[in-house]
Amino acid sequence: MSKTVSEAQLKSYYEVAVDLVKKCGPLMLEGYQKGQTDFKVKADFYDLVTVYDKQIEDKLTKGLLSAFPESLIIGEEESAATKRLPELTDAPTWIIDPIDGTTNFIRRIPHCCISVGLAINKELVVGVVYNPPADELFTAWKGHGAFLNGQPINVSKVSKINQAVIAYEISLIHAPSVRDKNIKRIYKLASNATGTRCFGSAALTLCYVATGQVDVYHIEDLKPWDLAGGAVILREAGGVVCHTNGGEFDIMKPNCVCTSTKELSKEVISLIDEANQIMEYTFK
Amino acid sequence: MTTETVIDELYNFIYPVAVRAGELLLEGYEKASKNVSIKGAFYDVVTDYDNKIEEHIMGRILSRYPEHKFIGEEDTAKNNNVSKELTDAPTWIIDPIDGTSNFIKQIPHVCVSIGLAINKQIVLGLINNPVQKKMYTAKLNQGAFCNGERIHVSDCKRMNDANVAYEVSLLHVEKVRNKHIKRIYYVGAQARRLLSYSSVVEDLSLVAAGNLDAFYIEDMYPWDCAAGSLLISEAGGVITHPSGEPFDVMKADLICASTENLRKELEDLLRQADLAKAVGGEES
Repeated sequence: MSKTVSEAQLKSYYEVAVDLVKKCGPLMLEGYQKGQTDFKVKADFYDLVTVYDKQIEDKLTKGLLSAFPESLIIGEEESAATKRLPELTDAPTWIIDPIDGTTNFIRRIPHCCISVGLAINKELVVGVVYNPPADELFTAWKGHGAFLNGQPINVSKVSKINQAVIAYEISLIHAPSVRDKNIKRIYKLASNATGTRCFGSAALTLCYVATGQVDVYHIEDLKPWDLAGGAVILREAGGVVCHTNGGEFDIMKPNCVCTSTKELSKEVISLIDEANQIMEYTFK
Repeated sequence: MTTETVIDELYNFIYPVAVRAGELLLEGYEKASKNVSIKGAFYDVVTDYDNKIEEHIMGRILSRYPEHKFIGEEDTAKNNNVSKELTDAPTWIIDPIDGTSNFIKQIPHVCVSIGLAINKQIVLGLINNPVQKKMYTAKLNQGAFCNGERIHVSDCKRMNDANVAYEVSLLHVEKVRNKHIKRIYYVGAQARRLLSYSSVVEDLSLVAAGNLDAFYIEDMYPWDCAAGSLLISEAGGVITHPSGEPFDVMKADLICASTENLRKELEDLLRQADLAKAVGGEES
């Protein structure tokens, strides 16, 4: 059952979400300023969680469901607790990462954020990404552009990889199953770009493409909540978000190429193809 | 032996110079236009501010201490005080803008770095990141500070727990590409996070302040590492040449870390990487 949503309703979703996310700012800042907060290591040595993750997700969930009882939640901590990823339906669904860039949060590096995305009829329509330590609030709702602290933001005009600054989560190579894939791809992309950055937060990196601070972000093997909010912000800033193979982006399996322009996307996808063909690992 | 009185006097003199240098850096940073390609006309603004900041710092020093020396490239030297050789004379080792591509793209990892060597020993280090409002300072044997508060390295002892900085942008340089892809592979497989900010001065500051745990770099200039190296030792960290030999600011290759254990682990990983003929294509 697909129900179209009115502009007024969408605006309401947007305004309530922004307000609630802002209200979580002080809580996040409290945890951030403590530094080296107690954390637990999740299944793998590189995956961490703090008490603030749960507190922030609870606060957001409670607020959103109370304002919009018809909506559903897909949240990182809830999914970890139940050990399952819910299916995305047509219902208005909030896709929440209470703290993206947890390692940065714990170490007081100001590249961490609260990320909330809203999907209706399986389409991403609202994005809010808030980095309180750096005082950066990114917001967007479909058809109304993207903003940083209320000021409009736009992607760069870079259309060639040799003029582009790329972002990549090179940390991903700590996982053996994706190590080769990522080392080949960063080899190809970083060789051809003018520079590379690795920030440690997918949600924020999408926002940095939206502002034009970087021009390309390629990432795979993440979860919906890592990218839902940022994808809306990037698209509303004029950027391109597509699947790694050039097809349509799927938030539930969010392997993607995110860039400032279509031409740049094409070049990146083609370099990724070349990377995939590398069999001999001496990288000559 | 340089006395504490002499160091304090020079520190009190240079501190406001560093503050003003940061103001100039911020002025240039805020002018940055993100729609101009890195290799385009905007590069002139970078050179402009690089010159302004260098002239400000050198001018103030020479008007008070006309006999002091500077380390720099002789062919761009504006006066006889600039040399490529470090002597016993008081010698300033300055980087007016570290993180030039961040400066252009308005990525907030840009710094002014001011170091002072007397009798070939670094006695003062000041690093100003005016965008993040962080002024790091160190005087020999008097500790390291950020905005007047004491800083200390972390207590990280193992690579699996470590946040490591690595300049991934170096993959762009063909001559060193294979060396770095192998090293990234070995280090990234073990580190909790591999982060890349494209500012060596920033990387050193973050290790000293305990935000990061280890950093390795080579093929840099003395002015990239002078102030940062003092910051790290005064913050309780360890710093050596990548071979394990003592750090030498005039051959500014280095490994630094919060603990000797971690430093050694990083040194071993780099060595293993160098011995590898190829990376990838196998189970780790």
